[in-house]
Amino acid sequence: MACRRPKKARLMLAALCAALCLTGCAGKPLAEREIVRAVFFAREGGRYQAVLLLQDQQSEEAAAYRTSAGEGDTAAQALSDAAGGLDGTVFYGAMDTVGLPPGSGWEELRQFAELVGDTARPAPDVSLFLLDQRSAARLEETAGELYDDLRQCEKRYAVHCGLEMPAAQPDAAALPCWQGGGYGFAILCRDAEPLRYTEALRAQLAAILCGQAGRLDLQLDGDAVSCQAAVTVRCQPSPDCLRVQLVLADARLAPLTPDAPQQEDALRDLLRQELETAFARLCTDAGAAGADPFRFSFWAQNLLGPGAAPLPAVLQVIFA
Amino acid sequence: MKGNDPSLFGALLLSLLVRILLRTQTLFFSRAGLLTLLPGILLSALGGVLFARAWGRAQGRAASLLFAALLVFGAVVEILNLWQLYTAVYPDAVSLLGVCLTVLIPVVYLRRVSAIAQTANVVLGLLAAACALLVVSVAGRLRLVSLQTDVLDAAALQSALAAQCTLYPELLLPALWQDSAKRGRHTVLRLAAVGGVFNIGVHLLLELFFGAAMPQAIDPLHQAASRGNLSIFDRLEWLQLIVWTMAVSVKLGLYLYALTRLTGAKGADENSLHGLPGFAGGAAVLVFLCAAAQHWDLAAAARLQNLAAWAFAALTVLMGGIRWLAADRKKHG
Repeated sequence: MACRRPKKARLMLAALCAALCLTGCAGKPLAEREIVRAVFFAREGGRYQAVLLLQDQQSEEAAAYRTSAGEGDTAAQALSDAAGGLDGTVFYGAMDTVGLPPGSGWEELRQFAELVGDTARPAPDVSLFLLDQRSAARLEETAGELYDDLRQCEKRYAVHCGLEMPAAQPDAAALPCWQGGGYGFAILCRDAEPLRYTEALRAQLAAILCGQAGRLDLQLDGDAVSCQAAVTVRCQPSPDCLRVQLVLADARLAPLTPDAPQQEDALRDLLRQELETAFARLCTDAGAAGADPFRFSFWAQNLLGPGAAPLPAVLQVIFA
Repeated sequence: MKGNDPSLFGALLLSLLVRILLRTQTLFFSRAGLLTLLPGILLSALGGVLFARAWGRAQGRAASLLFAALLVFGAVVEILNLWQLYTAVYPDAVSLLGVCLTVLIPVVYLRRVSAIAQTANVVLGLLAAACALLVVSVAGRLRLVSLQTDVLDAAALQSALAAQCTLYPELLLPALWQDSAKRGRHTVLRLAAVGGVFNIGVHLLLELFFGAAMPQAIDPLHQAASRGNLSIFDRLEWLQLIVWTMAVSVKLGLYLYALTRLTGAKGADENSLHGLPGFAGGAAVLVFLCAAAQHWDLAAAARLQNLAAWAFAALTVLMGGIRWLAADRKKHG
């Protein structure tokens, strides 16, 4: 017995050492990592460029950035090339923004979302934007400024397209587009040309109907009236139509010129009318593209059975 | 709960729920799941009840070893699932050994049945609170229209039913202690029912969150948790991970208890403390197995585990039936 115990202890020690070697017991400190804040993709001449916006850990300023760019035949290669040129290990845990090339289609958007999802797993939540047309060199030059603008845009307009959203529907994907100042909105259809809205009201209404925004912040009637409101959407299906209710809370409508309507009721009527026109346009465009980006068919299928055609949608604007 | 004879239902339930929470991929869309929920619960429960009936007769060295192997396999898969989540949150910084030690060290205090039962009830409460917090934190991202309305065909229903008929090792464990005081009445049925309903709830939440993309999501619940936020808090997945880690520790404590019973190391007193050297040896073996299996495809491993559990249960029922028939003939002969 006396002989067996040391033998057993040695055996256990050996097992522990083997386990240590096999499982690893070392990690990399944060100082040796390159902290990525955003990734911007561009495409020129069939090749992809990726720009990593990195937190500058040497600078005392909180908003100091560095960039690293790479290119390749695919977005994954470009991203890998950009990360490969850095000294430290890339850390995606603080990344919150991804910009995609402006001409991306439905399939490409899903591939980008998948690539970012696989690469940047530690990131808590990432916002996707389609970028404006700018060269890769210009993108690298202005990456820090662009990132700050995108963050500000997301905060001001309460717009957010998370990584899970492009693939949430089988036939269409939607996301905001950066166009300097405000945002536009793109609906990328599986088998049709993308729909792109640059006008503020249509873009914001489309984003709200897609569940990606919760706020109207724009100017109406040729910049004569300013409008700000928190918006929620309610759908009330009936056998003959789908009532889409836009509930506007804390609506602040203010005339900006002497010619604009001055009364609150007149301002509300103006907003209601503009929203109804924009809604009709969005529905017509979606119907022409054969897509259902707002998932109105969901209600018809639940009410009338699988395969039922979408009910005609009617907009109701309610001021809470 | 009685001091000398504590109920292990809480530990069994916690162990089953954490298996569902740590699943690496979803199994079905919730409409197909809802339609197959009842038959799934009944079939799983039937498997567990028949196993419990047959275990008394089929029990032997080989059967015990097979059961022990099934439990060890389940423990390894659970630890690796947890490790995978930790590495996703902080890559290259959390080692497998660190995760193994994190979940195994608390088991030192869970070597007594009463400790397992008490800790399980506390962690079960924490898990319920964490789940509620998860739902609240992602509520803003849930969209009713994300629910899929595709026509359900026979293949979809069949695959959902197959997924519902998971024979969790927790449905087999009550066979190890026949006295109902330690597990409550209708344990297997209650476990299967709560597990099935919880599973549907998780799938519904994920479908509302991911929509059509749900089947492609890896570690879906963790991904959803990481994108939720509440007020100024936007990394709430850490809270979930902490509670899931505690739950895995309790699960390992429960499996250790089951293993000591299976290997015949039971002391005179059922609630006595299991020996520390035995525990340390078992823990070392588990770490070693985790290291060896760290590159496994965990979704495939979970499917294999279910298949192995059904095969083992079927074999046990067959053996038990043969021995019962033989005993019956002997009695009448």
